Amino acid sequence: MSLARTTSLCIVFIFLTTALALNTAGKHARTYAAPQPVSARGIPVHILKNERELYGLYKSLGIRGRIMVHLGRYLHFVDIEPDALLAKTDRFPIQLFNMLDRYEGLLSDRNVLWTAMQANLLREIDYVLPAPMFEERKRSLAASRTDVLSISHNRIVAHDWGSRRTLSPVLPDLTEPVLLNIDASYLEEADEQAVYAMLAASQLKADVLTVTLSEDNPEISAVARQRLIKLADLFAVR
Amino acid sequence: MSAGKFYIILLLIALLAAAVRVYGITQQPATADEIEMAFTAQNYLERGIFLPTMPHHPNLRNLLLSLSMSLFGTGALGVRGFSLLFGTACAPLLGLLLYRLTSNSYASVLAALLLAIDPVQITYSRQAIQEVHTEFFTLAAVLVIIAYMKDGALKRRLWLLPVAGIIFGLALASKAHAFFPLIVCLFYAFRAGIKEKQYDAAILSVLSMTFLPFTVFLLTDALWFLRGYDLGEWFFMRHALAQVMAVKFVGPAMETLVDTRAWEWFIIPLRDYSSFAVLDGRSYVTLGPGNPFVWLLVLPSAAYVVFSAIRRRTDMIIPALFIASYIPLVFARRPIFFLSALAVAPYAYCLVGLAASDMARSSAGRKVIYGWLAAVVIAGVLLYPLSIGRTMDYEYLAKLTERHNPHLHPETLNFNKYR
Repeated sequence: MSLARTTSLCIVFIFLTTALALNTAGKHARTYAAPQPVSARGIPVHILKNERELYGLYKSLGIRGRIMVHLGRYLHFVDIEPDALLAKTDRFPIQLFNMLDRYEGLLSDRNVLWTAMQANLLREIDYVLPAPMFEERKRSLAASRTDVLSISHNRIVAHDWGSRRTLSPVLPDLTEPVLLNIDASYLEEADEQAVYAMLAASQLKADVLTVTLSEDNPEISAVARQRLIKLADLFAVR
Repeated sequence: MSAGKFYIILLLIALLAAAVRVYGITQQPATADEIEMAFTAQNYLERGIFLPTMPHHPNLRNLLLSLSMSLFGTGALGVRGFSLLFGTACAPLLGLLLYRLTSNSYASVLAALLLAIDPVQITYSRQAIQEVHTEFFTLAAVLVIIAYMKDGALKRRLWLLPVAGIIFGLALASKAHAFFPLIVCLFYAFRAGIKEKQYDAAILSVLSMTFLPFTVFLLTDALWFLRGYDLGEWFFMRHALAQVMAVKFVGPAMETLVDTRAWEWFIIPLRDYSSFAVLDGRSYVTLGPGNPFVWLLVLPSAAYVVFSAIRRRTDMIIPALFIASYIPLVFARRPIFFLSALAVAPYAYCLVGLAASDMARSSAGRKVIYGWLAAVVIAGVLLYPLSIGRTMDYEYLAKLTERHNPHLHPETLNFNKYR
């Protein structure tokens, strides 16, 4: 075989090997506990006061590189502006510090999922919004926004610098195990039986199931929190 | 001019390029971009994150910046080291490229000199951003392809094709601008193989300049994969960022609202891009205009070179590189900042150099060229403080900055630059 042909084959081989190696390395970087179908019996439910506790829980469980399915009215994805963090001096040498530490110092319910993505706990977030809230988002989001890729009747595909975020009124169709979080705000419009039935009928698998009471959010009613507790009970008694 | 003399002159030009790029480098304060880039490099290395700045550009800059900061610290040399190195090397590289292509030593020396002393080149060789990285790798790859094609006998130089592919990969992993010269080189290398009936070489040229750059590009994103992403998600990420960059990018308020149209570059003098820094209560304004005595001659020179090439039936690779690099920016649907001109400028210097060397064949023409060259050098000297942040020290230059004064556009002062 000629040198040109041998080199050509080597190039294709190197390309395929590199692509495969990176794909495998990426998948291996994800950490899973013991995923089970959401409809299965005995999936542990963590009841949390707010989304900030979610961040601590994920960190303590060693979560990394995961897809999160979040049921709720709020996105918790306000980014932290770097200008406020970076040194105000233009003098060399530049004083570097760990930005994640600063983000964590500013952790709030508004930015918690954005911070979780910065910390590599999450790589994708699929929001399931109450239908009226989804329609409102569709109306308010101009397709010209830099972070919106497409808007269809039941799905908005957006991204945070390449990390996928979808908004939808229905559960996503995913085969990969997810981190499932249900915020009390989701139970304002739906009762616990309906939410439970929707989740039980889905094909979703999860290894961490959390419900967050959003205790410090004055917009959440006591009824919604009670429904959420009942929903947690429904998962527990199956 | 003998080859020996040519290389000595090229060396002297390289020394001149190094001197004007390094002079006072530690006294020039870091720009906001540079501070954020140092953090971005750190974030990428530690967590595969490409924030807080320029996340839509590829990641080789983050890797190089991390390397130089780990070697030399976060001082001016550590942060700007690779830009200084690449920016200096571009001058002799361009001279070699044109010499290898045309054997015209006068044109080659001129092109190298014009690059060495052009304020826009000096400015961005002194900043830790990816513009001169892209320029350096692209010129190196084009040089390798020209060396491959020169004088036929492709079979003996086949190894140069994968080398060019890897270097083009480094260029693409610096900034997307390298894509257009890559297409031109791919076309010429493929055509050379077909012309010589070396079909294996033609296929190798295609694979070398598609699969290999792609492989290198992927490898520079390796730390992003380690966040848990797979190949399908990589395509999603790159598609999303390309859309942000090419179509929806809305960042004219970054530092200035002026000079965002590429068609103006060679028609209106002193187009530029500004950066601001404040240190100890003193303002440092850096601008990077093109030397007007060079830039205004680019389009006439291009027309002349194309006309001459058609008449003499010689190669059109330099005009092709110029046109392929420039036209997409002219018709871009987003603002194109003047610092992007570094993707086009090297070929522009070649065109001016080629036209000037033709003109210098007659004694009358030589006198004109000497006079023009003197004007280029004088303008270069007068504009030099712009490149080193000392604009405000000179009244005649301070006036140039007024167009860029962000306080003329207060609505942009608190504008989030990427959202």
